[in-house]
Amino acid sequence: MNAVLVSLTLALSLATGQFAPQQAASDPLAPAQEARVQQLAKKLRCAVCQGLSVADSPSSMARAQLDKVRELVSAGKTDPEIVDYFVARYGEWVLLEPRAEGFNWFVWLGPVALVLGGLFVILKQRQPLPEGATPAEAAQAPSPSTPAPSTDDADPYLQAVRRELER
Amino acid sequence: MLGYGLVLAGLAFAAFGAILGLVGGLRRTDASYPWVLRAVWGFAACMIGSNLVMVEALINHDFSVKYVAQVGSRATPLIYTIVSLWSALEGSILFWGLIMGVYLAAFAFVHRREHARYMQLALGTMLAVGVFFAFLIAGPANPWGAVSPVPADGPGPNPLLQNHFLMIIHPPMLYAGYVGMTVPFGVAVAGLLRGEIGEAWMAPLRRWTLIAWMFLTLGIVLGSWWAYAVLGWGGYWAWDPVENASFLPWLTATAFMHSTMVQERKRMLKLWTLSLALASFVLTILGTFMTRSGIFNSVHSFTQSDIGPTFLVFIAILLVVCIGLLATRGHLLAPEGRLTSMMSREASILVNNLVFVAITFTVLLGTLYPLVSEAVRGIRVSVGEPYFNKMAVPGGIAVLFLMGVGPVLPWGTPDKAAVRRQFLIPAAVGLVITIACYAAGLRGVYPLLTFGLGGFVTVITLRELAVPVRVRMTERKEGLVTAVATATSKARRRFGGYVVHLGIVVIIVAVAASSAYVKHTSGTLKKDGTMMLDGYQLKYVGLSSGEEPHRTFVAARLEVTAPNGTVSELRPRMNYYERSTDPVGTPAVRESPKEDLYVSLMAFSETTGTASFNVWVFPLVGWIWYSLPLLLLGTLIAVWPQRRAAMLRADAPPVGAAPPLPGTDAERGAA
Repeated sequence: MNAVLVSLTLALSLATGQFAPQQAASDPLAPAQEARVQQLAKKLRCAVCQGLSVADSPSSMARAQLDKVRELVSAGKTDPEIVDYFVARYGEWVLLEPRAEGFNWFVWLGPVALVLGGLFVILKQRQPLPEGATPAEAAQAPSPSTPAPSTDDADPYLQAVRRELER
Repeated sequence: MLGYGLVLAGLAFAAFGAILGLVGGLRRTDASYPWVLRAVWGFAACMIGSNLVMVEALINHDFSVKYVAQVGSRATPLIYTIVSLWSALEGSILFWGLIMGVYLAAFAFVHRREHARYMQLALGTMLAVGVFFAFLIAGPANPWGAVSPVPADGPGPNPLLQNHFLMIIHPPMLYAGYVGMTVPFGVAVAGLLRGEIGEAWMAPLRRWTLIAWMFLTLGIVLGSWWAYAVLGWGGYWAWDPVENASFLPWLTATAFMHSTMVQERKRMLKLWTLSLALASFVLTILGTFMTRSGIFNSVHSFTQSDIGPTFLVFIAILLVVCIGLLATRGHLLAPEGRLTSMMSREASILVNNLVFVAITFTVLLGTLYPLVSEAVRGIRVSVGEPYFNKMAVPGGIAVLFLMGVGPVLPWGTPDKAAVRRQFLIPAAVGLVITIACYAAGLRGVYPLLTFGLGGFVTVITLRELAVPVRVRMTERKEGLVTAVATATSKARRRFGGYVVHLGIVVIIVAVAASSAYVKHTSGTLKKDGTMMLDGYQLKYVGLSSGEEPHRTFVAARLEVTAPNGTVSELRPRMNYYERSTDPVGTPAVRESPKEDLYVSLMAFSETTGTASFNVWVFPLVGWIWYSLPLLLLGTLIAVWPQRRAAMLRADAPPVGAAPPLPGTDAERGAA
């Protein structure tokens, strides 16, 4: 009973807008500028969220930050200036993509180094068959009894399918 | 308390069985095997019983139990009351115990007549993992603590978790995927302890990995669907630590499934394949640690606690055991075959493995780097979506490319002219698709490349699926249905694999299209005001509010006129739960195969009569989850047990022979 009362009062206060988020975001700028705003906002981390960008987060903090980006863009600031503004305010943490400098190169080049190293290892694994040896495919040629249509008898997969049919 | 007693009994069973199994297996006696089996049954029964007791306590609102007092509420609907079993940390660890018990019992039952020493080692290892989880439930994450005085009512589960029906099926799938990796881990460790792993043991290793992989895949896709439908920011994947944690074992398990083919066919990569099986398990534990210990912030982390240290100790033990085993037993798994040509199937799978490992490494590095940076430089940094997208997109395209190239390349040393001929038509189709997309006004290198490759892979995969059927129909005069059925049953893994490939192509294309060609706008509307996006007209009609048992909501009514003229109403809403002061939004989505219109209510004000919306149009996004039936069907085809005779034949190993027995080609080449 109590719970019903609570939720009823809650519903009533909702209808009057008491608990609603009040501050709506500022309106989008002209398309060219707004595209810049969104691009910048994608790279900035919402200060109170869990890893969402300012562009994506529905929280009111993110909307305030988005408004700040709009304000700076319409004030004619360049992209690096705006990024620096946020870094100065919130620290490097606000960038969703670590800057490619100093120790951070590790996170950018590590995967590249792994791929290159892996390719090297794979290439070193190669041991071509000695001269004169028949390719494996020829060794697996269909048995004479296989009725091989002339159209696609070079297709190893078809040969495999036919061999399987023999069973 | 009965529930807690059952957990302690489960712990005892697991410890008993683990010691007996490992010692017995290493001493090469079979005498203890029946007792190990009994310990498995006992462990499973205790875990099932303990979960049932907890569910019963939840349903009866027994608030004297700590966990029920934490997540229960009399107002919560019955289904969400049951589901709240996994809505907080303690309950979800308990639920893990249940799944682990079921897995162990299923594995022990299916393979109970196999080689006793192997089984003892495998079951002993799995029970050792069971000891860890039972210990967690009994100690650091104990849900059974008593509460006094007994509260009259509880706060109810986390609002985000009772917002959508997907929360009922997504977590169990994910957990079944995580926990399922325990079984391949046990099998692999048993193989390493014995110092040999024959074909007879690779088959269960593959099958159980595939089962875990299937659940993990379903869990991940359903999770992205849930995020899309509930979180309201218009995305389905944020490269968040929790998402990454589920993605990591998926990547290594996928790599395992491919390298195991080389292992089977060419007798190469044995050690590597086993390492991948071990890594998949270690990554599930690492992922659980990362997401449950509270060292990361995440949109999904509903549960944080002090179980971190226990997990760290367990991970350290796991790493020592795995590396020690691989180092000491590795020489027993020497390769017998060799790589003769870079244009062969095995080479393409090696590259595939490299790509998957590179993606795994990147995701792991990106997820852990904030910790590294803070430790080394003392500076907090973030690694988020822009980084992961930049790094993963080339990886995804490489995967797509390999899905097309791999199936065409034959094993061994190919005849180059024949291979070239086979690439002609698919490559032409891919090119035509790219040109058509460009002509239709689509731009961007990555998406166009993805669409072209998508066409290329689809043609190749369909051809590989159709050829055996066609041959059967023309040369055996079988009917279409018979031909499909027999062709499938003769080469289940190959067929299933290709069907899964098709599903993955659908996902990759949908991800590319929906992220490259998304349209977005936001704005504040007065009553009867309108806004336009990509041909959709949205008119704000007014607010409505209502009440449901566990929440009240306010919905904004939007009259939507689609580009084709049809009118419908969307109601994005905000839900208010007693437990939380902040409202939880529910977006409204107008779905169609072509595109989704996605509307979030950001703010509203009754006094000024305005409401603010975030609006997106995502092309093709629904196909990410529409691909689920394909993925499920493909995996089920591959995992379905073959008839015993067929299995024996496939298991007979051609010892040391690089070219395998003719006749098993189609079956063994499963992609």
